[in-house]
Amino acid sequence: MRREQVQPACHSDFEPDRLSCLPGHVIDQILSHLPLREAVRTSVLSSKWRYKWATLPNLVFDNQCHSVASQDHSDIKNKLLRIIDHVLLLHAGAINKFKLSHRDLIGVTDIDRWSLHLTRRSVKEFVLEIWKGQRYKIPSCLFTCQSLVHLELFNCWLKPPSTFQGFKNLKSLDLQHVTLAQDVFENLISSCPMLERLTLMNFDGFANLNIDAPNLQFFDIGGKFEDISFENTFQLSVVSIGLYLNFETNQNRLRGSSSNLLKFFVHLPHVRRLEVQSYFLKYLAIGAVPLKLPRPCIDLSYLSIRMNFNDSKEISTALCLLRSSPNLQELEVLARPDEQNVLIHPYCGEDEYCSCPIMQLRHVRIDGVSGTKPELDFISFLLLYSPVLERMTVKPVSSGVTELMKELLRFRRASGRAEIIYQESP
Amino acid sequence: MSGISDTERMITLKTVEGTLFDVKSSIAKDLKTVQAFIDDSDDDVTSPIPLPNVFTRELSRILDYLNNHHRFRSGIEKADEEMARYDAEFAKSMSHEELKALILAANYLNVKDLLEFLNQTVADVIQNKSVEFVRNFFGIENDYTPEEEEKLRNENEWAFNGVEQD
Repeated sequence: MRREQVQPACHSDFEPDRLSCLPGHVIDQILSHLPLREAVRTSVLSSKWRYKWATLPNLVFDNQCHSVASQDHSDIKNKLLRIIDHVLLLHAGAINKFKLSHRDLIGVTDIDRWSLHLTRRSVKEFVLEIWKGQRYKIPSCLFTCQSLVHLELFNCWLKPPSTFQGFKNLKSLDLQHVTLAQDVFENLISSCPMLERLTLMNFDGFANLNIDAPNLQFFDIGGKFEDISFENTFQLSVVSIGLYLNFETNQNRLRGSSSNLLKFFVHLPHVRRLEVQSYFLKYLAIGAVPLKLPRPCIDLSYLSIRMNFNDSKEISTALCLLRSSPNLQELEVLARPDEQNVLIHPYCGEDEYCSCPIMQLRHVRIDGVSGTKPELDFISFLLLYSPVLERMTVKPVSSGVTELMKELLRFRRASGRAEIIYQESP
Repeated sequence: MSGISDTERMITLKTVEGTLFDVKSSIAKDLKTVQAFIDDSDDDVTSPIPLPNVFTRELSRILDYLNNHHRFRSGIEKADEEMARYDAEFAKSMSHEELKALILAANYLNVKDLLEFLNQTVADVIQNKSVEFVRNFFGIENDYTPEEEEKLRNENEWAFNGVEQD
């Protein structure tokens, strides 16, 4: 950067009046960065400022609304109700976002009233978090709010009226600790044609997930379910699934049954990032696990799996995925400790590692291992068939597993540039 | 001189005081006002572009910010921490007057990310401060009578609890 001083001028010649006048949209942006309480206080600065805060597009009512001096929870609750009523009444202009998340708030019928008001004002983003008490039943009026683009609910119960036609503009749905019936769930998803992001954590009332969403790109789920299938989800690019239920695998049921793994990937041709968490790999391992998927996952570049190294079917499933992902660059394998210590599917090293593909892995992370034969075979396989590997990080389940370290150093590596980092547990 | 890639082209900017700054065109893209000027010109812009509302001190700071952020973004992982530290230092290094002057310059030059960062910084500065402090900061003259102000404070009582007294 070359500078030539041509003619110095005195900065302080152009002073306070001009500097004090920040333009309107700058003031608006500054106010929008303040907690609601602070913004409302600016009403007292001068008469011009009296209602500057009232056109703020985003209203967030949370623990910051109240400087908590009182221990009386019903007192706080009453004050909070009055504050929200007061603000909503004085507010003018469009309401873009409404968020209510206060730790003392239980589901009160005032929320019904505010929801009606917001529906009439065409709110776009609605976030409701009920921290205490039982599931709050979402009022019918909210189900008629067609302006919604983002809906986020925590600890709620959804039972839409029979006249519910879906949310035509909804792009993002985040439901956590919710209750809804099976048909309600399916209807909800299939009647929101613009849905791009779906998060579903800790739900009850339904056990079968059938996701029919043509515009869905991001899907994050964690909970207890029996079955999951996708339909018409060709845009799905980021998927994270956690099955929090260690189901009993019934041997009779499994004989000759179709592969869950095959079924799962049929409608996910473009998945780019995949996380298989908790017991979901065990679910995918049900049925006859193929050597390779019929159609490779050419877009898959990041894979994270939680795997039980003592279950050979889970290892076969993981290997099938690796063989079918020619462009995979990052792999994370987290060991799931086997509670029963009973080998359901005994491990036989040579059978597993036939037909080894050359992989494009650059970064690998292995977490929670202790140096058993299946673990070492897996790591050795990764090192032998990853010619462009840059870094592998191995974190043992407990410190002092030096035997593991010795084995790792011994393994042959296809990549001359590969670093192996052994991370001690603190 | 054929074959010079777009990112190596240099644009010259001239401040109010007449100081000239040579800026890479990839950085100039973040100065949307400047970029619009370049886009609107039929021929290649060779002479220095005058910025009649921007002082040397401000342009120097803006370019410093942009250069550093470009550097952080082009690197690999660890940059997030480094960037946060740089931003904190950057915000702390200015007086309130300098902060406001920089906002005006960033607004004129239409540097969106920097402007949003500066506005957040102002929000952090005025949070939990007394009404007098905030009035001083924005150069606002109080035109309420004491009775009017008192009434307004009572109406919004929940907003005024536990704040720094005037």
